[in-house]
Amino acid sequence: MMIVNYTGSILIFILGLYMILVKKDMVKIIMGIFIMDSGINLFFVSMGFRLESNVSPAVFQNTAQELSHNPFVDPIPQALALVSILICACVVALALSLVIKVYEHYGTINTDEVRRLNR
Amino acid sequence: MMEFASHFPILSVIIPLAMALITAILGRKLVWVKYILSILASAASFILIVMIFKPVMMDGNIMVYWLGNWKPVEGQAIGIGLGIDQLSLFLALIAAFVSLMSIICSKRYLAHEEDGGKYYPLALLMTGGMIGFVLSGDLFNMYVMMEITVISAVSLTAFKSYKRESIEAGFKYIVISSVGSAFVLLGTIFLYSKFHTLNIAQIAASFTGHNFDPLSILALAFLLSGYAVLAFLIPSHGWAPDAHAAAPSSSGMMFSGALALTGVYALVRILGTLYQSMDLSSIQNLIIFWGVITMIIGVIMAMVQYDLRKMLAFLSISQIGFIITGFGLSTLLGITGGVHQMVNHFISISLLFICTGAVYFRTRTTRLNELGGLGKKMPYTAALFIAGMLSISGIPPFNGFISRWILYKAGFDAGFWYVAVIALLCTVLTLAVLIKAMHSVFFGVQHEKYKGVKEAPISMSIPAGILGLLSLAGGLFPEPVYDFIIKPVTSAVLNSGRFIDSILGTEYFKADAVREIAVQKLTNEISGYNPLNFLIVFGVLLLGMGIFVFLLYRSKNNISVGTAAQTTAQIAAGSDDMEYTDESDTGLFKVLKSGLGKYLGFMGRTHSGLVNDYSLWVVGTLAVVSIYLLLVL
Repeated sequence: MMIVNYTGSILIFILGLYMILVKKDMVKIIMGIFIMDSGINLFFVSMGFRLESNVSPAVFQNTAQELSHNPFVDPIPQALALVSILICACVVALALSLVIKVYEHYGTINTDEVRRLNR
Repeated sequence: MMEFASHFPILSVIIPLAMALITAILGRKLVWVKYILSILASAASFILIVMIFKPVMMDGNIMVYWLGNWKPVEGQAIGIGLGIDQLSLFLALIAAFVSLMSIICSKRYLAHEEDGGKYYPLALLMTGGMIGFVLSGDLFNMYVMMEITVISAVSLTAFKSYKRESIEAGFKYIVISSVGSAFVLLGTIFLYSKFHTLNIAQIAASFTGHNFDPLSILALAFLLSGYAVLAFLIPSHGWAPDAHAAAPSSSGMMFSGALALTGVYALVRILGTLYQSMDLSSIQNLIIFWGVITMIIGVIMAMVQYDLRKMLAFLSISQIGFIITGFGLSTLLGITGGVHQMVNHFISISLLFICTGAVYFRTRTTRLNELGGLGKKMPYTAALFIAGMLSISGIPPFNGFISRWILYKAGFDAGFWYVAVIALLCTVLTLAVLIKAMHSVFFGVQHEKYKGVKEAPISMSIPAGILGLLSLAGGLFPEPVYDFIIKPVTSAVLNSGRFIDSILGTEYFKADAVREIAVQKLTNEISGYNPLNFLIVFGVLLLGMGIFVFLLYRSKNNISVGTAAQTTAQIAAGSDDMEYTDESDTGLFKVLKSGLGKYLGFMGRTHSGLVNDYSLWVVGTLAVVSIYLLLVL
């Protein structure tokens, strides 16, 4: 069942990466960054939910045996996913503000034309 | 005292971050207050790190700090831990020192800016992020701290938002680095899904005996290629030259002098501690190959630059290649050379960046063809630039010499003689590049418009003087540097099992006594080097290069001014952009460049300035590294 989530998250990641590599529109590149991070977050959350052998690091031998017939979700990946979402929001906000400035200076947001710094 | 001192590492991270908040909410009139507060915060963090120097470096303890006192139970780490061994402390020392110097000399730079006070919160965030990055003993915290550092570094790159170059460089930096960060995050998750922990020590304890499965090998590939963006190893270096050229020089100093070294730290920590795989020859070959590529392409690209800061950025990439090669050799001598090279790199590149900054401050340009004859006006800066130049290219009596010597010797001893030869060639080319830069900035014809140029201001000349003295002292008295810094760090890199045991409170790894004895014995071997041999080889190579250039000159005597490399530059840069052409270049280097342009011009052309291409290089690195690692491990 979880294989759908794993495949889906990797596909979303690759889709975002594809946008960064191929799209020439700067806003689309930033959308690619966001989609890529969404794929990672989905992977995080799906990985935390495992029906078999789901032992969080905070639970040790005795408790784990008691809880073995009582499955629960690993809380750590959810916390990590929250931090990751936060960082992604910061990166996207900063990148979008840079795009506004790029448009002010160059009059375009096509990466083919924004390449004065080369060699 | 000791109980109290255990809080110093976390305080050295918290103080700059907290002060960043305070300086951010102060009004824009209070630039002076912000300046003083930033100096105080970074100095406090530097002093706190120096105060744990004795227990860690001299007594050989490894400090472990658990946030909220969540200690490991039954060898299972549950809390967030800071693990400070000699390697982390060494990097934290470098990061704090370079940040302090950079903040001190940033004052006069920002006098030209409209709202210069905004610089300080960003610089402090970067300081705290870098120190937290190297002190952290937790993979996810390393990721978070890297993001703090990178976001503030991007903001510093785009700081002069009225210049289009800065904005463009900032955009490239944030796209490339977010690809790298995504790789790091994905690698971290792969490891978490397997081991259900994020603590470096606990993951490493599961890897005893190199029992890697495909998932952890893939995670290694993701982590390596992600952190290579931070360390700007070629081909993940796309952001670095542009960011160095566009940012204020004081932050360029932080990028090369500290940020890149933290990236190298991450590579060493992952390979050495997390995966315990520095002794595998397949990993060594990968790292040496990567280092050699970085070293040689960096210096060749530096030769064709027309901007002083961009040239220094490429030289810095080349230096990182030296360091990585040293660690990749993985012998005792190689790691010693790599660590020593780290010391020299941060001193000399910071010195060069401060001098460049002083030149920029007085003349408002760093284009090599516009500058000239500043030596008479700025003798102090010129002298320090020459000191930095000799130091970075490894000429006695400055500090660069010993580390280079150790690296060549390590290359020969480990059976990689061609690595040693390439390293020597790169050293000669580095010197050639810097002599060209020195010639066109400080000597030669003095332009009319620089008549009124004065000496560098005091806030820049004091840090520059300190760094110049350090580079001279490091060359004249290598033994104390070796005893107090290089030896403990080398020992920590070799005996990474001790780090794991100290964090978990277990005894998975017994400290390897044989390696320890070898580290102790190395002192005699290193102090017994013979500078004469080196000078002879150096002279022979210089002579060979002179003959090569002479032949090239004779065969190309009748070529026109517009060489192949330059015309492609003009086409690629657009119709009105002639600023990268160099009309007043002297004969020798024009010939060298046209010769290089014929054979190696493709290197320049691949730097297309297109952000998609640069991201593709990062992804390509990931593909190559993961295929290689999956095949060999």
